[in-house]
Amino acid sequence: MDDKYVRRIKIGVVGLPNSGKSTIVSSLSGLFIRTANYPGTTVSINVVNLTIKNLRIQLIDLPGIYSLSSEMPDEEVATKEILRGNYDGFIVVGSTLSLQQTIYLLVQLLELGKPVILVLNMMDLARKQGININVEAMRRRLGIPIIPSVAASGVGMGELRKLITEIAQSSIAVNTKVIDYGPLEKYIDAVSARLNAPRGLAIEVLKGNDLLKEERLKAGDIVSKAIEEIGQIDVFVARKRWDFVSSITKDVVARGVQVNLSKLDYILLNPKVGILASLALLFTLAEVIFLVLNPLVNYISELLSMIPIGELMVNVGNPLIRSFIMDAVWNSTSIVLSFIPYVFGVALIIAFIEDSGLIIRLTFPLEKWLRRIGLPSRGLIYLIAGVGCNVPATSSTVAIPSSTDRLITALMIPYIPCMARLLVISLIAAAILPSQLTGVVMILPFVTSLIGVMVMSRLLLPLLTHIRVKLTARVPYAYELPQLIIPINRFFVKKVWHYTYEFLVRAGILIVAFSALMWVLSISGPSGLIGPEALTNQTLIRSTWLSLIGDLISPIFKPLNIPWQLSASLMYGYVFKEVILSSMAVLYGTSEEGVINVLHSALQLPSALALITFITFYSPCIATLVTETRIVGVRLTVINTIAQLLLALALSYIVYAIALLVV
Amino acid sequence: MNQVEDVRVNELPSGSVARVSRLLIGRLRDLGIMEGSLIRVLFSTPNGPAIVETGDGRPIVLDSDAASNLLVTPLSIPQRHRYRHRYGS
Ligand SMILES: Nc1nc2c(ncn2[C@@H]2O[C@H](COP(=O)(O)OP(=O)(O)OP(=O)(O)O)[C@@H](O)[C@H]2O)c(=O)[nH]1
Ligand SMILES: [Mg+2]
Repeated sequence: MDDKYVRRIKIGVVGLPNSGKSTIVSSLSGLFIRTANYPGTTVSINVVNLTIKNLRIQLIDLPGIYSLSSEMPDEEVATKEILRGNYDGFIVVGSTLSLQQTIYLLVQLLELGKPVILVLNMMDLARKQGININVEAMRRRLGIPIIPSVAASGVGMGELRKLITEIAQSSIAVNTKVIDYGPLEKYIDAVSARLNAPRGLAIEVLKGNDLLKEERLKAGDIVSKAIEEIGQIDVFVARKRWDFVSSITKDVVARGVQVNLSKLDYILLNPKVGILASLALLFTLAEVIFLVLNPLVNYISELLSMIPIGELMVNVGNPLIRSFIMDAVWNSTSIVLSFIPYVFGVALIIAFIEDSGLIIRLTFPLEKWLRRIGLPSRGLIYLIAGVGCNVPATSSTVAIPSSTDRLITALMIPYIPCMARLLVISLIAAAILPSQLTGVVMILPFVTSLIGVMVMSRLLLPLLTHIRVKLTARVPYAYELPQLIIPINRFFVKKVWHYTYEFLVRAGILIVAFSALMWVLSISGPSGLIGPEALTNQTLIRSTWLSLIGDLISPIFKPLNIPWQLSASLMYGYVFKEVILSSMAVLYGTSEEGVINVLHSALQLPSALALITFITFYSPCIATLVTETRIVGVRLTVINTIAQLLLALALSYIVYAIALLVV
Repeated sequence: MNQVEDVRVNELPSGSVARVSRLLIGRLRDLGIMEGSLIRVLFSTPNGPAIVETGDGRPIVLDSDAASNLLVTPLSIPQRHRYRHRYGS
């Protein structure tokens, strides 16, 4: 036999929501896939290719499911693949923390008759809780390979690779008949023979799985007889399966724990004080992170100011080129560099919110209130997840079953301040306040955005009924509560690094490019080239393009005492939020002191608070806009974007007025 | 009549124990909540979402719609809540 020939296999990664499927696929392939500690992070299919020796493996990361009968759109994506896709085998990812739910799902995959590897993930958390599972006994009972793992730290991944190659060699035992369904067995066999389908599919047909209506018609007579004898088949099957689950867990759980809620959970989930406690926790965290990072920011600016850029540039004869390098390129690059601690801080907070389970803790006490204004529970999860980045949050809304719910959620997500906006805001906060209070001012954007969501959902909901013809009813949602954890593991570090890096590169390129553009606009005007002198000469600069643009919108901000340079920068923020800061730098022609110092002298506290309020949601970035149109259509996106701008403006006026009265 | 009537699970105060009498949504069956199973209410808000513990000790979050569609027979209700919810005694 020639070893050189390449084999291809296709393997589905199936598992409970939030069990670590994407983390595993990410770890096997080295690619970055979005992961987070709430159900429904993955809502569509991710295909990843890897090669192990001569084997080409197509790994398909699927949305999480509890069973093969799907009720949510994302679950349907997964079950359709499992029931109809042409797979060589499955990796079932379960969580050691919910062994019962894992076995319940596993059984259904086994019945489909393909090779199955069970990954029992989250072993670290189980161990911490004192849960002890006899994996060997479980292997014996189920007759399949089982890998205990800690995907977030890479434990068990080597063994998983090895087993995947065994699927290709067909050396993995297939155990289809795990449960004896008693009186239903003869019907299962009959349907299976009639349709020439595996046992699992026959069971789903008998249970009345919505995805298998055609098959059900073909086996109609058998199904009717079965119902006559047994009654409600789905109830019957579920009962048999849960009986099996408890018989197995009795044998293999050496030590288990009852409810795995921590003491903190009882506070955070408390309907009355929960939300305040969560917010207090978050802001303490933000406060600590920024306090710790503050010396670093100063250190970096000191380092940067030590670079004798002016002296180095003396040799460049052409004043235009010199100005370009100094004012456009160097200024913006040094901003990007001094950004680093802030970017890191914000990335850390976002990753913590995503991985700690806090998103669910925030959703639970808020649900009742936000439901009144039309937001569904699933939508609320994505809304809060929007603090990372509005773009994936908006595209995740496809997983929301009812169209009204989906539309209103997608329309509200741009009101949530994302990492980029929070970064700009944290910089402004750092500039106007003593550094100890940076975290505290960060409350403002969240309050603003909550008000924005409250007001706009009320206004937009009636509009939806007008515009969309078909609005569907709400579908109830239930899921296992994700653990509250302090996410310190290899994967978390990788994630924070990834966010920081991606943001710096993406923002870095944009910032430098836009600074160049701003530079051009600020040394030329309707009369042609004015020259670099315009940057430092307050009279000359008034005849540049930039100043004209600034004048155009400054009347809006004049009452707020926000200087025209700042309002002009906001214009550019329409493209990407990160650009606001670099625009400010060019307009103020800052070099060593940096934007922070400029802001400090240019803004009074009330104006700064107004500015923060405005930046919170005055516009989504282009990427969010594009995603938004895909979900809600162009018309609603336009309406929503205009509404955002107007409301942001109105709120910033209000904040300014209040601040004037108080300060 | 001495029989206790069925109620929605989010009508029961936190800490109550109840037996599931009727499921209006199949999804809960896949989460291990079936007709006849015992559950404990960990958190609940009137007409709002609830978190219940299944017989084998797993916490399940029910959103407002799911909680309003789970009918249970109350078995025990924490003392201090009795007057407010008018069950038991
Ligand atoms: N402590 C611990 N955390 C883990 C482990 N594996 C994954 N996680 C974390 O668990 C959370 C969920 O992981 P994901 O990979 O997003 O889970 P998923 O199964 O893809 O979830 P959905 O796409 O929502 O169905 C993330 O916060 C991970 O960092 C593990 O072995 N131990
Ligand atoms: Mg996933």
